[in-house]
Amino acid sequence: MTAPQLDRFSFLQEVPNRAFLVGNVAFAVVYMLVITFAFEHGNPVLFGVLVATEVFHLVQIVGYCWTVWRRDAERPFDPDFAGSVDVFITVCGEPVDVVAATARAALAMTYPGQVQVHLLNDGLVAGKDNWRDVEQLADSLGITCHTRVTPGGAKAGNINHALRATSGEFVVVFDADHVPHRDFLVTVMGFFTDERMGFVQTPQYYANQRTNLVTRTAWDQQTLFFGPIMSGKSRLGAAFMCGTNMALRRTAVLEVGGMCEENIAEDFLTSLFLHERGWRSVYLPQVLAEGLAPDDFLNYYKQQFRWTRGSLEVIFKYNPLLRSGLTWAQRWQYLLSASYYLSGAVIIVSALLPVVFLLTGATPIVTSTMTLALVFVPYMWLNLYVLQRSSNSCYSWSAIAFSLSAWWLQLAALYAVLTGKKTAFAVTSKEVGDGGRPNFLRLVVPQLVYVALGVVALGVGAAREGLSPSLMANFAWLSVHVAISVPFVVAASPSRGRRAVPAPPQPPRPVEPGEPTPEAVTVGARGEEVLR
Amino acid sequence: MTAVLDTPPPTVRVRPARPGRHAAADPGRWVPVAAHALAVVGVLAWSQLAFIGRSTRLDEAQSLWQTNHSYGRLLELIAQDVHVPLYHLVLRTWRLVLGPDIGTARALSLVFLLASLPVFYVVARSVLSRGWASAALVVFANSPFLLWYGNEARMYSMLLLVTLLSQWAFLAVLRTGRAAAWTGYAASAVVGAYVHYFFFFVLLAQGLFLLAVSRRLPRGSVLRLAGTAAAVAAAFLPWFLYFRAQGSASETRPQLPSPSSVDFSNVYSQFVFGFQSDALNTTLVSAWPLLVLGALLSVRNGSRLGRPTAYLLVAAFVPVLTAFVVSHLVTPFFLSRYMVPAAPALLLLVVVFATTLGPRTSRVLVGVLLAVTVAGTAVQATSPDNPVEEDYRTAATLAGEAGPRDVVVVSSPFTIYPFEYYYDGPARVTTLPEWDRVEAAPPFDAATLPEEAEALVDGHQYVYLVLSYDQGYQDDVYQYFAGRYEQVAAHEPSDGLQVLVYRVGYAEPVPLGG
Repeated sequence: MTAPQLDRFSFLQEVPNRAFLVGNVAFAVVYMLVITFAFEHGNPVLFGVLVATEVFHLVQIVGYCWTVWRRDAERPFDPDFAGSVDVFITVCGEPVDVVAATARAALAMTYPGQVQVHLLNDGLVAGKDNWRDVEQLADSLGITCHTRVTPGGAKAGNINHALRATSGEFVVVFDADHVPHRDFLVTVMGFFTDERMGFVQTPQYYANQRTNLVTRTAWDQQTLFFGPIMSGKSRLGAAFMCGTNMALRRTAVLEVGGMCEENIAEDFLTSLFLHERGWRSVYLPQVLAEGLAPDDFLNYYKQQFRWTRGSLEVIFKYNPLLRSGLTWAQRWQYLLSASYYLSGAVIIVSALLPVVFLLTGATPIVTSTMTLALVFVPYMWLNLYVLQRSSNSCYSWSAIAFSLSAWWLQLAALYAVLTGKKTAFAVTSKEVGDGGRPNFLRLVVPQLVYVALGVVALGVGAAREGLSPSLMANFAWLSVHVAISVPFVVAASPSRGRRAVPAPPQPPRPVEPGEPTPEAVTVGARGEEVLR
Repeated sequence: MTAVLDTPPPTVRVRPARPGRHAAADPGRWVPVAAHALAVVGVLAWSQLAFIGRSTRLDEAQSLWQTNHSYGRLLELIAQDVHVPLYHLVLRTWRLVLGPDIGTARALSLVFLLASLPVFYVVARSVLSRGWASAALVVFANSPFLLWYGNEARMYSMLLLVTLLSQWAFLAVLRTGRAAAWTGYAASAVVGAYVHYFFFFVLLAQGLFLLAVSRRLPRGSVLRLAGTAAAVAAAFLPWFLYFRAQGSASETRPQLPSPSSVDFSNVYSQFVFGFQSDALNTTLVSAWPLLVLGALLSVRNGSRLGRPTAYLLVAAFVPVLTAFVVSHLVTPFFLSRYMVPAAPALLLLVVVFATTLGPRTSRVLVGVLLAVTVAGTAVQATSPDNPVEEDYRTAATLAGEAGPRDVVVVSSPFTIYPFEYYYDGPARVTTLPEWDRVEAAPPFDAATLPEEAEALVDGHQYVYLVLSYDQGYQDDVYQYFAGRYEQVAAHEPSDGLQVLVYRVGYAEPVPLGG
């Protein structure tokens, strides 16, 4: 039933080492206690801010170790399950070739029950030029196309519109660029033998991950989430929908009023509502569809902004801790997932501490810099080792750098949520130019301002302190923060057409009889080839 | 029926590349040969140009003095000291055969350092490609810290060699589990136990590591480890009993302060940069946040921590950390030279880290490491602020100006060994507090200082006060002389070593014809 998976799926194979997880939490607690109580306090405001950031880190570390402590182990499964399925392929202006590959792959899926494939065409309401082409594609393939004429609710609205027009017991959702494997349905649908199973989520695999820095980094970030984190959440009954490559029970979704249209991250919030009503979920850690990562910095930025804003709205408008229908494990898991996006504020505060010292001489704590090193360095190294080990070495420096450099994006999203400012929902564009990298430097102006501020601060600090140990330590910290922003800035900066060099070939995946042809998968999976 | 979710799907594994195995950095067999030749030439050149001719230091003078005695008396002296005997037994034999001078004694250490080169290379090969291991060897050969102790008539380069042999055997144990590997490991463990007490921390780190990974080792590994421990204990027992019978060195232990976080970081700073001035060293270690950047950069897709590398991590940090903790909990004995077994592992880890960052970056970083190492050695050799330099030769030359009516007072008392090694003047030489060199060094008593000092200077014209190795009363001695007598000269031949000249008496005119 399951094809052998190659090493490119090794992110699914993490085996948590609990000794390291316990050690990580212990080191984090000790570091927190030492910072708070063992050292002489400096500037009270800075000290308070430092402690607040360390509390945030501690909660995130404890939450992470708790989440990845163990994977989901076993669920009821009926291999002969044959409930009727509507396959929804959401389309909003993607190239017709991309949509065609996905639709053909969906039609080729094997399943003992009834399957209807539908194109959910939002091209018309989104003002996309190719919406008629999508309808023609549906005609040519003999599948239904639901073209909305009344806008609203973005992708959630599109799905809800199709829910009203269809009647299958179950719904499977694919983004237009996520090509399902032939065995998707037979591998997934059997979980619905549990009558309270509300939805099944599978990984969101990026087949174009080797195209450029942005796709590589976006994928590296996904590996951590779809590797240990989602498996752990599934164990705790808190696996949530991720918008694509998922199967839903119609009655469950309808019970909560369809996909939530009020939130920019409709999948996250709808999951919360389903869990609140007692529906179960499972995450199946097996790549059963292959899609496209955002392939330039703008698309990546928009995607991250959307996720951030949606998650923060959940905290401020639907605080999971206050949702009485959720178990405590679910409450904390939702809060941990959403609060990750508050880290922007924490990161910029940490980054500003050396700048403040260089400008004013004020520090949050007063201690020998080497004593601080003795406490901090082992804690930091162990933390990173746990991250690396729990992701089965699929995480990367650029993934960390992108996460840590997204502070402005996260602050902007936080501001938008707190002020209720509207932001346009933008479906990630999959267009790939055949030239160089476009210029997106305007998106990283805050990072460049930080670098400039750091240089000025260094001058001020050097004039005041000379080459003191404190100056050296803070200069080193400043260098660390600047270095972290380098991959982010590089990805945003323009370059000439190096991308004309073909991407390294993906490892071959065994093709079963009846599976979509390799050409179809390849065309669907690699944006740059779509345009040739 | 249920679906199992936590068993990974069957995989077709691509064999992972060896760490740091870039094609461009894995050249032919001539490269290791050339690297060894370069390393030998480097070690010999540094030795001849910069190190082997330096002034004898206190510990060296003590070793020379101890090995001047018969083997039986030598064992007695070592047992009364805080060391184990193997190095001194070898040194005595070496000196009997080749000559008694300090240069000959230092040559023995140089031999150990040279012998360490190929062993370091084979240890490096467990984590690095041929090319990168060769590069690491060249770095090792230019290491200021290792060159310093490779040219000192003490046991540290022997400790380095036996540690590397032990690590080689231990890695073979982890890799193969064969009886030959275990035999080599046990033999090196027994030898190491007789080279330096700190070697037990090396064994401790290895034992802990083996226990941590024992589930993935062949059956019986833990039993064999226990057998090795028993063999070491049995082999060490005679010396331990003899040591106890000689008083457990209770009166000869040096007075060392409890180590601070600065001392801890200085160990690693000295491993890489050597012995630099306080100002430069402080600047270097203050840049420690860059380690955070290093840790972040080391998070690489597909980069897994292999077992040999994990062991090197343990070998680089666990012995030093253990010594640090024990120094706080039991008795302070934290000196960077004792930590020399951790130095090769640290250097290897730095090279391993560099080689994970892509071919071009790796070459640049290893090149920078080599440049820093060479520069560190050069500065260490030439800087007057070298904190471990003890220039008793210059001190003795300065004191050589003293005449028969003057007196040379050496404090702390035990520094008389290196001073006397060079001093050949007519003045009487004594120590303060006064010491007969037979009994344990006398304790300092501030109340009796005036009386003792008066007795020393009585009837003399000038006092040449040689101050070094402060044992907590150096300032009392200095203040006493500075407050009573006219200082006519002051010299500082090396950091912490002072020669102060005081006029303490005025010659009466000699009657004509008298």
